[in-house]
Amino acid sequence: MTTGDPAALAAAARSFRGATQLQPDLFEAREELGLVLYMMGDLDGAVDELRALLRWHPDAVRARLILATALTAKQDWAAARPELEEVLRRQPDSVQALYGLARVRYARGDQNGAIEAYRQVLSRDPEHVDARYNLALLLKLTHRDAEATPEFLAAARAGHVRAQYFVGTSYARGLGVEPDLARAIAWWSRAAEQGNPEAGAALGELRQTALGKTRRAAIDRRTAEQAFRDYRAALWTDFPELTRNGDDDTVGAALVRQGRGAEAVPVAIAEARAFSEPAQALLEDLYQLGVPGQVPANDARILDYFKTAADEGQPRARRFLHEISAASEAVPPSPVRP
Amino acid sequence: MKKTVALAAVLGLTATVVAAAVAASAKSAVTAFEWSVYDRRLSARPPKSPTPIVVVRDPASEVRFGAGAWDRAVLADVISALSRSGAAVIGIDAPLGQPSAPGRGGPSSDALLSQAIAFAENVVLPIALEPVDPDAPAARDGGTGSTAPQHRSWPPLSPESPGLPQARAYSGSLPGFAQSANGVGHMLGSADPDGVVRRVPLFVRVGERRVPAFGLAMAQAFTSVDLTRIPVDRQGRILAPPAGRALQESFKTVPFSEISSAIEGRRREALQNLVADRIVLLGIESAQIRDRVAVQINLLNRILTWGWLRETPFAWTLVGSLLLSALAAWRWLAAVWWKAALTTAALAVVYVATVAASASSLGVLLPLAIPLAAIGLASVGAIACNQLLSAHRIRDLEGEVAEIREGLVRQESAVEALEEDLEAARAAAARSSGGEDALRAQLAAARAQEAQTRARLEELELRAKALAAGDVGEAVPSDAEQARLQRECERLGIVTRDPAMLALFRDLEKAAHASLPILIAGEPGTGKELFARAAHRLSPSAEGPFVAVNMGAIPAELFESEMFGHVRGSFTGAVADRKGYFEQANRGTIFLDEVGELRAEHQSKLLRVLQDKSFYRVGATRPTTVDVRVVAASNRDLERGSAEGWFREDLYFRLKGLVLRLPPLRERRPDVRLLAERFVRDAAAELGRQPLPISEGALAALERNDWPGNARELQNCLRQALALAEGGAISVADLRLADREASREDSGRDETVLATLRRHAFDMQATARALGWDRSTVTQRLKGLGFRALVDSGGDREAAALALAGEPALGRTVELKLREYFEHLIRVVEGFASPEEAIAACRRRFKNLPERHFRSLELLVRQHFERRSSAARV
Repeated sequence: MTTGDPAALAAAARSFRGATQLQPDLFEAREELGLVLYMMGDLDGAVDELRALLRWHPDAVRARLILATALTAKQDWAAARPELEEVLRRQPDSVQALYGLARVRYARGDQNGAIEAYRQVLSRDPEHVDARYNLALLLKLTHRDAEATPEFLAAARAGHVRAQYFVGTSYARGLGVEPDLARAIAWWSRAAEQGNPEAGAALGELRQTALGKTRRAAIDRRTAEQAFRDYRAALWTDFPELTRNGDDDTVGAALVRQGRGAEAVPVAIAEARAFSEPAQALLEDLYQLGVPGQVPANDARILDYFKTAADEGQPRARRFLHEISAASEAVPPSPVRP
Repeated sequence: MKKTVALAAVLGLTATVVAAAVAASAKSAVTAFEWSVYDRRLSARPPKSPTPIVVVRDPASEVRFGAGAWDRAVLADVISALSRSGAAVIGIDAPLGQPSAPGRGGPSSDALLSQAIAFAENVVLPIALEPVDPDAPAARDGGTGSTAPQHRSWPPLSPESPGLPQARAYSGSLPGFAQSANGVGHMLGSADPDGVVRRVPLFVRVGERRVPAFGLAMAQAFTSVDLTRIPVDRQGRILAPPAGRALQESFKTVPFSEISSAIEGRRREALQNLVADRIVLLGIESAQIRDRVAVQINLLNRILTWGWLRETPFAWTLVGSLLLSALAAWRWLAAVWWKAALTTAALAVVYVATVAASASSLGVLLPLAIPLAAIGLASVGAIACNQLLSAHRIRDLEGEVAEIREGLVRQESAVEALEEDLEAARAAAARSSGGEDALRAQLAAARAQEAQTRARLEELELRAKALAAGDVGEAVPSDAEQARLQRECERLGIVTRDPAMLALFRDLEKAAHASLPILIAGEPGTGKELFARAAHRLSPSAEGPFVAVNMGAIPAELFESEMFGHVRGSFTGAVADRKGYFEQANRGTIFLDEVGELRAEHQSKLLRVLQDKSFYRVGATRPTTVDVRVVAASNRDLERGSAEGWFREDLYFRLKGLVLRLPPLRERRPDVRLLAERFVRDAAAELGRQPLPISEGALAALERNDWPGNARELQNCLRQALALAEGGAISVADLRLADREASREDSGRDETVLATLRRHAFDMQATARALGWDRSTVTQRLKGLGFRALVDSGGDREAAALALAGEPALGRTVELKLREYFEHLIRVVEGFASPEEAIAACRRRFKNLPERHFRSLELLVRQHFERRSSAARV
């Protein structure tokens, strides 16, 4: 039962309920009915059916696990906990039950118990990214940053977006790692590209510092500027196959030169956000002219970058927006381009 | 004076103690009452610090982030933004102790918030604590020291702070957020008896640390605070009432949605302008700032503005209440009631104003309930004392009067006996020429003593009468008031200086302004119509007509036509429409004189008009409605009439809105002189000649006369005297008073004499004046009546006295007189050998005794001799 279609779920619920009415001790039908009701959001109904089932079949582990999940969804932690513990007594290796138990423990304020449960999950399933991320969060919340950061890093590398933000923060603040603002920018950028608002805000703040628009000290501004330079330099290491033509060359331009225009746009934007003037010039050209066969003109991503940069107070971005606005007013839009 | 002050002090002290006791037993009501006044004043001018800014949940933010608890990532975002924008301190109104539910961000949002708090470095959080009873075992053994949470900002216990209130945390360790915070403060407060939290312990003891109040923690995160200069009470608490909505309104309050939209819109400068260098309190719990938070905000505000509130120590409250209540009591004891009432009201008003001014301008909260209650109680006590003292004084005076009356009776008897002796001495002048002189001297001395006693008695009786009327100031108007009333009376044609009349006039003045019916009782000629006219002229309808109707003079068959009018043709003589008296008096006053003379059927018709204010003209088909003020008068006792059935009771009650009983002229003799002069002037004007002065002798004679026809008789007498006078002044002879008395008093029957005696409480002089006789004649009559009563009662003097007195109150006086008369009689007959000789002597001695009474005397003498001879035989 994996479908999320409400109509299909309702139909399934009706048919399972009919089956249980015809044959009340039909084990599978009642278990499926409980699951369907849970998926439909009828938590109380699911809990009732599964409890009824467990009265007849106390060893029905799957049904008990579904019951514990429904109770957790109801935030009835006190009831969910013994069910999960019962599942684990019968199936000590149940990763799902352990993960649920960790959540329940955290919700009840037992942070150390939750950490222990997450560790047990990871010992059985080292690839469980959510468990690792949550373990890292709890370690951070208990002020154990030295332990938390490696776990965040592992989850971030596995693609967990919020973990990437926290890794960036760890590098920025030196929490459990050596401070490295350039790496922080790299991780924040990766998270921000995937829509993480905290990472975007952190980058924005750092850019404001570099632009001298915050109340921070001058040394902070210089540090931020240097970090963005280092970040730009580090970008080349992500593309070892590219050849750099002098100091003003950018990764984006190199990718365009290699005919990898589609890859070039986000990289150029990242470089431009890191205050690369050549990257900004490249983006202006790409927006206005495009690259035939690779990048269309008037790319919305590029325009979005310029608008954000203008909002942040970057004069070049403002100037460019003004130019394209004036040009569109001077030349009335025509269906036929010359 | 000293006695009054001492009594006022005692009353003040008692009232203060009682007020304090009552306040102690009703603390909740007292606190609520006092703070209802304080809050109003404090709200008017709350101290305003520009530093704090309060961010509150608003509907827009609830639409966006939900109505319940918010995802803490939102809060983390806002804290980071505020910190970046330069907020000096960020306070959060929730302890954030419990972890986030998975549906609201779970540990992820908690971690974001924890990180934001740590990075901001200027966040102050509250911690949830519960008070610990210092006597509980856990508190005595060091409290929660081993498991108590600790924060780096909490100072250790100092020797100066052993008596701090104790508290414990719900958990042995600080929540993760609090560990990252710059400061952590408690939100505990002390509820006053009315349940409102107005006091905050500046610090509470948790384990071995002192936890500051949340407001103080925010202030300390902002600036350095000199804790030694903050005024705290003995429990280490500070007074920081929330002062209602005004306090919240006095801070800059920003909706949460404004902050969040500024952050999202990257309006960095706007946010900076809003929060830079300020203390920002994030009210994330509810749209309304709750009381416990409001108290903390007020504490913060008062620390920043250094504007403290101070309460008055209880001892000062008592002293102040004592002074105020004693002052009020003194005024009630020393002044007339209206002056005292005014002073007390002014005292209370001034005090309340002082309390209000003190609270708003000085921050000193003066007590309100106990002083005001003490003023009230002391006033009531003083009024009660006045009543008790008056009653006591009346009793004393009555006792004194009774004593003097007895003495007077004895002196009168002595005078009478001496007069009789004098007569006897004159008869035997040859034998006892020297004895007559001695008797004359004794008689003169006795008369002088009697006159003195009588004067004293009159004075005491006046005082007793005034006291019995309630209040000296009330019964006898002050000089200024009397003068005003006299002038007003004179303006309205009423000539009097009699305090009783003036008091009646004062009542009339008051009643005239209302539409209350007035019933004037009094003998003919006492001025009933003058009072009725005065009531009209003093009433709001003075511009309207005044119609006086003598009810006794209207023929019965014309009653309806005269009173209510008729329409043309309704009866033979009705040749035209005619308005009745009631209609003539519309929008004015109708004076129904001699209303007691109305026949029964006319009484019911009059009653209907008075009830409905409308009537039917004779022959009319539609009612006529009038707006008439009714003043009625009668020389008959209408109350008795309603009891006896000749006057309708409902009509009596309808008429007697205010009853004025005008005293006869003989009860206000000083007015005779004024009236006489006035009447002479008027008569002279009528006769077209110059008014003549009245000789002193004539004036004295006029004053002595009883004037049963009152002012009207006096007026006729003077008209006649002026017409007949031949000299340059009106003399006694011109008055022809003897003729009047002779014509008036030919009824010398014993019943008349006895009734007059009873009316004048057996005062011989007054009775003699009333009857127009000389006193010895009255004495002889009473003596004769007394002897007859003694014979009738078989010698039982008490029964005889009661039979004569008619009422027990006069029994004692009469009994004394009877005893004197009888003893005198026995003294007279004592020296004779036989009853015949004695009776013969008595005939000479009591020659003015009426013959019909002499038989009783004779019988008494014979009985005396019989008793004497039987005693001699024994």
